Amino acid sequence: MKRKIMVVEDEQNMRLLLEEELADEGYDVASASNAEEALKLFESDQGIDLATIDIEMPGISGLELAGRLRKSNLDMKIILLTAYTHYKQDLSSWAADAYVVKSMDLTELKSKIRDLLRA
Amino acid sequence: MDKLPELLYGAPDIILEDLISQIERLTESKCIVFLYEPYRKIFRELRTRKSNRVLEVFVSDNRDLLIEKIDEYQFAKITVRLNKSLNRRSGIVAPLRQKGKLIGFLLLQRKEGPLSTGIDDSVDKLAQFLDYLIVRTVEQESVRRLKLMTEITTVFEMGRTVGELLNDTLTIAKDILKVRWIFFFERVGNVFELKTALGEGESPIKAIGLQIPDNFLDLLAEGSLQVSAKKSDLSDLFFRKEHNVGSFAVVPVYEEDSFLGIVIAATRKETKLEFRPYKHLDHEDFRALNDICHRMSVAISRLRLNKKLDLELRKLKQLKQQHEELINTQKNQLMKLNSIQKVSHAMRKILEYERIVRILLLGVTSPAGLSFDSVVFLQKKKDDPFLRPYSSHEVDHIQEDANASSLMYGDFSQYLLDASLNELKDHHKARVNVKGITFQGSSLLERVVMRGRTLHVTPEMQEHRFEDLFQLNRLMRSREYVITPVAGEEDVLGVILVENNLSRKAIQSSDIELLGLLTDSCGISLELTENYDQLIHTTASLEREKDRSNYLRAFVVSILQSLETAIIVCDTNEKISEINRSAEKLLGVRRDEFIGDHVEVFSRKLSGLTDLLSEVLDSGETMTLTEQRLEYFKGNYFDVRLTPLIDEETGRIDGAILALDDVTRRVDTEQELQRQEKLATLGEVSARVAHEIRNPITVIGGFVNRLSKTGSLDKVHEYSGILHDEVKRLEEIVEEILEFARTRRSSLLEELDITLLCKDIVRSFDDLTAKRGVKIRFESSHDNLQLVGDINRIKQVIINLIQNAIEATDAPQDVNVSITRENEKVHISVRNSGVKIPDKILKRIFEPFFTTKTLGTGLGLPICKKIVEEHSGDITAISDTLGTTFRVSLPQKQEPSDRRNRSETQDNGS
Repeated sequence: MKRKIMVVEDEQNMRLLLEEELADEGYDVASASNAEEALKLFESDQGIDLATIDIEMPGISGLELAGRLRKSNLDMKIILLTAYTHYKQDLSSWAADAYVVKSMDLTELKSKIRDLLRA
Repeated sequence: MDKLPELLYGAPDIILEDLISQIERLTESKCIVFLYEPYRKIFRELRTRKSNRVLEVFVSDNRDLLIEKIDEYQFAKITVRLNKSLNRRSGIVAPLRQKGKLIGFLLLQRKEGPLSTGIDDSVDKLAQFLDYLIVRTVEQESVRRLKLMTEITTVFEMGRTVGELLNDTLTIAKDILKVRWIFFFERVGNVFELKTALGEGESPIKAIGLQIPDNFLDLLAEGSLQVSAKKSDLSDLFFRKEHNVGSFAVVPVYEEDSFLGIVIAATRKETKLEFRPYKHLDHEDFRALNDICHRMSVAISRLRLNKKLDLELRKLKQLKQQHEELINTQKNQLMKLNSIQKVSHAMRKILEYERIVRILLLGVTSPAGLSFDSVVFLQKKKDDPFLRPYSSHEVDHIQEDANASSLMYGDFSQYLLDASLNELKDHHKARVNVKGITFQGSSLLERVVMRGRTLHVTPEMQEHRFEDLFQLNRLMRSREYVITPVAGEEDVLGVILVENNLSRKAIQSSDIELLGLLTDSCGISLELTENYDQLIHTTASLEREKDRSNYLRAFVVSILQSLETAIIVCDTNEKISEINRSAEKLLGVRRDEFIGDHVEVFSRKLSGLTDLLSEVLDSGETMTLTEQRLEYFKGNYFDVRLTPLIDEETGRIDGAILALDDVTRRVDTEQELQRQEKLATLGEVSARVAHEIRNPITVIGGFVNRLSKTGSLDKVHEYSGILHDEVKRLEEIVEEILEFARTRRSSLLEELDITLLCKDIVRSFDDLTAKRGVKIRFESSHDNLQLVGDINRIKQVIINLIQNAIEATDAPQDVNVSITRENEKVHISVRNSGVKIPDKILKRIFEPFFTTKTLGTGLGLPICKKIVEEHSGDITAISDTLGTTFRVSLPQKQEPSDRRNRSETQDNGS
């Protein structure tokens, strides 16, 4: 059975890149362009195994979204994906299972996903 | 009564009953005994132990029963009255006679017919016994009255007040007469007022004030109106009609010749077994009452006389006492007058303010002086609106009595001089801490201080002038005191307040006069002292002034010389009058060689700064130049200050000072600091830039990667489109950063029409606004507003602001662009009707890389700010619930930079 990943990313091109890359990896990918959309998607689809969340988004930030998702579902894995490194120090980022800095090389992200879903 | 010994072996009523029943047995009939009351001409049934009723037989109502005819036994029908009802009784009437006088009769209730023998004897016995009882009653009554009369005498002798006398006398009179009520009405003009009322039960008196007609009064005076046994006009005058008053007596009371009032005794009480021929008040009673009243009048007179005598005696005593007091007071005053002379003498001997005040205070309180209990001296200094507590003194009576130090000295003056050497026990400190008392505005105090009058504050005055006296009361704590000015020839120097609260001696007017003499004397002494002090002080201060002036001169010169600042002083002709050591060193000259030369000699070395001295001498204003670079001194920086020397008194300019501080090190440090700040900013910028470009790079890298793997031509097209967008974005970011980092100032200054420029820009937004549903408006207060600037940069600013205004939120809104002019400044405002920007964000909005948008570098507004400032303008943002306004203010003319007075905006010479 295919594992399902939710991509939350406000920048359209980045979102497209993630969708295609993760689909190529053999995952079922659903995406949202902001936190509100992500919450809706999460409500309607109980089968999401993992979410990658961008931190800097208009409206509800990625950190807050991660916190809310974690509260409703303890099993779902969460990866925070950002261009910044300093969020690692932010307490609220601890709600996430992993923290990946954006890079043109998506190998790190992919291996983190693999590790988390295997566990 | 020797004829009746055999009858007297039982109580009279039992004997009486025996006698009556004996008759009843003999006649075989019921027997009623009637006794005759000559006063009312009736027969009244004898009240025995058994009977409660009293039958009355009126002679006038019974034709058969004429008194003359009752001399033998006869059958008769008689009308009897029981209370108010009339009855007929018939029977044999048997007369009761004693010594030939009819005293009553028996009614034997039976038919006519012969009576048994022996009846006469029994009737006789009864008559005899009744007579005996009557006489006995009268005698007993006389004895009783005699006893009571004796009591009255005691009352008279013990008499204290008229009221008590009346009350006690009437109480006994009531007893004597056996009346239910007795009243005394006092005559007040034509009215008689009820003063005393004794008796039981509801009072029968008509009113407490009675009007008695003259004819009655005449009768009373004559003594002919005496006693009334039944109701009459007279009784109506005194008593209420519905009240059943029996007999009464009215007696006038005189005191000497004046008619004091009347005594009314009313309703004789009835007693069983009272063997009196009648039950009402009779003439005997009246005489007794009259006698009592007469004696009472005499007692009252005597009482009054005694009182009068007492009063006279007391007056005489008082008079004597007053006389003695007067003599004493006069003696006292003489003594005090003498002591005042001594006090004045003492005060004149010294010229010390403090001691004179002490002598005054001691003189006022000392037993050998004016001997007041306490005194407070309030000082008044020239032009001071307050009276201030200076010193005070209070007599310690216990201690004073013990050693009486002032009295032990033979010479009072000497005592004062000695005592004034020691500090007084200042009782004021123990009292309320009054710091100062204003006299202006208080009419009482003004009179004392301004007009030099003495004020005697009395308890009565306390009540009316409480507010005026409030401050003084806090100080004095006495209801009565005197406040007197201490006045010299020229001015009032203070006031003193004295009081006698503790000893409770009255303050006499003569005391106040003496006090005035003393304070006048003191005032003159104090004034003399002050003048003397002033003279000494002036002399001394002149000396000091000279010393100080020398000292100051030396002080100034040494400061001048030791300063690190180089100082050149010139006079009004720009001739050098002083050069300090630092200036010598800086200019490499010797002071002595240049004093008196024109300052121009240093013009070359100081790059013409000396020329400015003439300006300072003309304007009289200080001129400051900061961080001036002087070529001659290897391009070192100096802070320069040119200060006019102005005479404080005349305001004349006497010269000018040129001061130079070498601040090269400070400038270097500041520049270093700024460089470091720039570096810090750069670090922040790099971090932000790194992030800004990381996103596009990630996307670009990712898709390039995918591009190499894909075989689909469509995908290649799609990816290359994406790559194109992202590369463009990268380029924009780089451009913005470069723009912000640009240090070169705009060189393309040209005259431009800002109104026209804005109009064109607003029009260019038409497409975007239409798409977003935004209404944009433009207005300008002037057409063709010209200003000098770089047209492209200013355009960039305005475009940026309008773009922000439109994009601020998603909701459609109004954007207003307006231009106004004010004080040679052009204001361009861009306003939107969006939501309020929180203050926290608004504050940071012009910081580089501060953005709330996720797209954009956050450099838009900082770049705007930079451009506006390059045009010597400023930019502000204001936000409230109605919307947000960005306002750019630009000067119409770009002034060339000015060398002077621009320490803030100077370009650091770079």
